[in-house]
Parts: sequence; structure tokens; C-alpha cells
Amino acid sequence: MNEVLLNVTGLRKSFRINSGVLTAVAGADLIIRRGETVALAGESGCGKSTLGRMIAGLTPPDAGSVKLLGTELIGLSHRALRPWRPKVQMIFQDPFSSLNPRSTVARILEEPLIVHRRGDARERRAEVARMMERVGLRPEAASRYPHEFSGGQRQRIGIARALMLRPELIICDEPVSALDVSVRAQILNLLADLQQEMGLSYLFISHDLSVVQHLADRVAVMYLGKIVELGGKDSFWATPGHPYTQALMAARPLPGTGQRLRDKEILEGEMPSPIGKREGCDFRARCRCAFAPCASTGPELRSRAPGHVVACHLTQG
Amino acid sequence: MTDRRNSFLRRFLRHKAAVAGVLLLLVIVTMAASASIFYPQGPWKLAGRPLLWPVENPKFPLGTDVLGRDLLAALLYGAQVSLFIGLAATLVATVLGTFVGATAGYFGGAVDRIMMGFTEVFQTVPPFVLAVVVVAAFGPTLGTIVIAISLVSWPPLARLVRAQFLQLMPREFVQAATLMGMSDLRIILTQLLPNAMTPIVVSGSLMIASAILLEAGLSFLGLGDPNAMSWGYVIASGREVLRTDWYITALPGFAVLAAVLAINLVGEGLNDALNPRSRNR
Repeated sequence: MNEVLLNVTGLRKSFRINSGVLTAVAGADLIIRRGETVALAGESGCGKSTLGRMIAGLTPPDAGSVKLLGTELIGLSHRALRPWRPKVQMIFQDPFSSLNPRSTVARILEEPLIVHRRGDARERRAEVARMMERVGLRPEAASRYPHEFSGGQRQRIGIARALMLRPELIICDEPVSALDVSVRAQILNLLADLQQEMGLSYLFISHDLSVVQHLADRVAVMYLGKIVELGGKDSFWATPGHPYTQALMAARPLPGTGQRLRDKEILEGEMPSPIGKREGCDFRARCRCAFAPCASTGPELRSRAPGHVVACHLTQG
Repeated sequence: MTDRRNSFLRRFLRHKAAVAGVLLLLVIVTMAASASIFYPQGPWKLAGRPLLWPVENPKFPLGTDVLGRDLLAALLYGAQVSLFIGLAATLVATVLGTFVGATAGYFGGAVDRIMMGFTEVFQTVPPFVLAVVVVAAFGPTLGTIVIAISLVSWPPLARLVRAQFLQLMPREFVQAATLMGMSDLRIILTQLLPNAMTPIVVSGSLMIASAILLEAGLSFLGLGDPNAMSWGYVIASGREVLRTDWYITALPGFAVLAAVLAINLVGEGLNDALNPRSRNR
């Protein structure tokens, strides 16, 4: 098995808002190995983006540890963090707000190299051209501004920017959610090719399990700030353990089966409020299998199969 | 880049009033530039009989004031003073306001509260009163007048820049800049300020007009630089003969009106041409 690249333990974050304390991430553990794709799935508001931002170092956590190749990143000063920055980069959801509208593409891609003083002007320009080609853009377009590109092309620019510093880990925060369905597959294929070529690891954040299915080596499902299930792809897709995961899988559209929505079991209700304290299992109000223990104690993650853990009282550890 | 510039120019030129403003402004700039060519002796010289009405004597096309000084010379030199004060005060106020607003907006938290509290202190005093106090305290020279006017003009700009920053900061390109390890200063200068430039330019251009008005007001109260012939000074000097020789007050008054109008028209045109949201208004 490959070397552990990222080791996240006990990561927590809550935000103080007007109506109380909102717990966005309530203690998350996650390991990402070199060359691996870990998907982080869940409804909007479940804290998956906050978790990604904490790992990237954009949001300081309240507690917990993020170790990159054995080095603790939490608590490092701006200065001490600087040499680690290039190793973790991010691809953002909205290709229309992720690029500076006043910079040319050449400038946007060169900036990371300038900041980290890599190469001279000519080497940097050559690297920009090489990378544009690599992500499927014509290098001649480097003098253009972001608004002259389509959404898919802009996302390619965003990917190229993330790659300029030769990162080890890329956090993809819903990278295809804002794109037309026809463009999605292209971008997903590009990400897969780049991973092969450059030995990248991905943390792939998505609310859509069908997007995750073809990419992920392991899948984590998050619900209301907690990882409720985490498993390797074979075990996860074949025998999902958590009723929430099962409901999410049932909701995927399966082309060609002639299945209609009304024949499916659709998850009722909404997530409980993340504001204030909670008791018991957070999912029990929506769960079709809820029974007595669910109201009193919150289930811990228990092993269901090798490398497959589930936080549910129905799973016997 | 070139088609971006061209389209900006096209949008600006489509705005008829803005073009008129530019032309009017050109006239005023020409006035200021030609002052020492036509009147190398300066505007203070007692040139002829006092209180000559315009065109009464062909030597003084705009007549003379109560002391017999040539009014046309006064207006030409006054254009110099007004443009200088307008531009210099706006420049200082824009730099100060951008600095305060950018710092407050970018760092937030306690820095923001202190900076904005400081800004509000300035905003609670009526601008003109504050300007009068500053000039009265430090003596009326061109320098102190510029300082006084910029001191009362920067707060709205600081608020504007802060608001722009607050709007831009959650955008993902700013986070990408943080993620690549860019320093705070570099993020402010290369990511945020270029995107906040449009409203700064527009409100800066309008600020020139209000600075000219403030200077005229100060001069009218006798707080102008005694060595600089400004429009406000001429207006004040005609005050006592307003009923009989109103042209002394009316001519420089008209000059102030024209300058302020021209700059406002240009500012409006800039706003429409630079701001994509008002493009099709």
C-alpha cells in the first residue's frame, strides 16, 4: 500500500452566528495515500467544503490535526506554512469566480511561480504554455482574459493553476457541479489522466454520488458535520452500511433501467439544524430503521468490512 | 486588451453628456494653461478703472473688479488654482481613503472596527466646518487647503473601498491566491485593488468637483491662500457691490458651475462606461 500523504484526525470547526453556535465539522478523521482519490460526498451544508478548506489551510480549525507527510500543518505561522503551500492546491466549484477577471490567463498561471520564485521569466512562460497544452487549451490563448472563455475552458484554467506548483494533493471542491453535463465527463477524464501522469492524490468533494463513482478509490459520506461511512470502492458500492448512504445511492438516476422516480425510495425531510447541541444519531428522524438506541447515543464509526467503517447502531463492530 | 479599451471608448463616446463634459473641461484646462501667456503680470495688477462692466472697454473683455483688476485674468488664474486644488486634494484623499478602506476590509475584526470608528469620527463633523477649522488653525496656504479638503473627503471613499473588498474577498480567485502562498500586500495590490478600481475612479472623478466647490467656499470666507487668485476669492470680492455690479460675482460663479458640471458629466460617463451593470441603462 502506498505511503500516507495526508493524515487528518479530530478536525472540528464551529462558527458563531447570530442564532447560536453552528457546528460545521464535528470531528473528522481521514487518511489519504499517495496517488489515491478519496471522495467526500454529502448534502449541501453537511460540512464537506469546510473540511476541505481546513485541509487546504484556508479555514483554521478549532481543534484537530492535519499532517502532511508526517508534518503537522495546524498552528504553523504564515511563514512556516509557505513551503508546504505548493503541495496542497485546490480546484474550485465556480469557474466564473475562481479566476481574477482583471488578469490575463498567462498572468493567472504565472502568478504561483512568481510567488514561489520558480524559474526566470522565460522559463515561467514556457511552463505556462506547456501546462495550458496539458489541460487542453491552446497556448496562444494565454493573452486573453477569463471572460473570453467558456465555463469548461475556465475550469481547465483553474486546473492548470492548481498544477503549476506541482502539488501532491489537490482538493477538488465540486469541480464539475457548475458545468454543463456534456462538459463534465471531459473535465473528469482530464482529472483522471492528470492523476495518472503526475501521481496526484485527490480529495474529491461532491454532493453527487454518480460523479464520484468512476473516480474514487475510497468514498466517505458526510452527514451534518460527521463522516458516517467510509469504505473502499468495492465494499462501499456493493454493501453500503449506513441507511443514509443507501438512500443516497437509491436516489442516483440509473440510465436505461426504465426506473421511474416514484418507484424509488426517496429520502424525506431535511437535515436537522447544525446550530446548538444535539443528542443521539443525527439521522434518526429521517431513518427508516431507527430504533431505541438511536435517540440516546450517537453511533461511533465501527468496522463493517476491512477498510470499511460505518457509524450506525445496525452495524455490529 | 485593445478591444477592451476600444469598447470602453465606444461606450464613453456614446454618452453625449460625457463628451460635452470633456469638451467643457478642455476649455477650463486651456484657460488655466493660457493664463500666464495672456497675462504675464499676474492677476493682482491694478490694470484699469475699477468696476468696468464687461465689454465696456475692449481692453477688459470681462470688465474689472472693485479695485480695477482685470476679471478675465482673475478667471484664468483662478482656473489654475481650482484645478490644482481639485486634483491634489482628490489624489491625497483617494490614497488615504483607499489605504484605510483596504486595510479595514482586508484584515477585518479589530482592525476593521478601529479603522471604521476612526472614519466615522471624521464623518460626524460636517465637512465644510472641519475644513474651515483646519485652515483657520494652520493658516491659509495652498498646502493646508489641499490637506484640509482631502481630510474631509476621504471617509466616503474608505467606506466604498471597504465595501468593495468585502464583496471581493469571498470570491474564489482571492482564496486561490491565499492558497498559493501570496502575501497579504500582494493579494491586496494584485487581486483586490484592480477589481475595485472602477468605483474608485468614478468617485474620485466626482470628488474633484466637490473639492473645487469646497475651495471656492473657503476662499469666499476669506480662508483662501492670499497669494492665489481663486474663483472663490473673486466671488467674495464682489459681495459688497452685488446689487449694482453683480457681474463680478456672477462670472466666477459661472466658472465654478461650469467646472463642477463638466467634471460630474465626465464622472457619470466614466461610471456608465466602466460599470458593466449600468451599461444598457
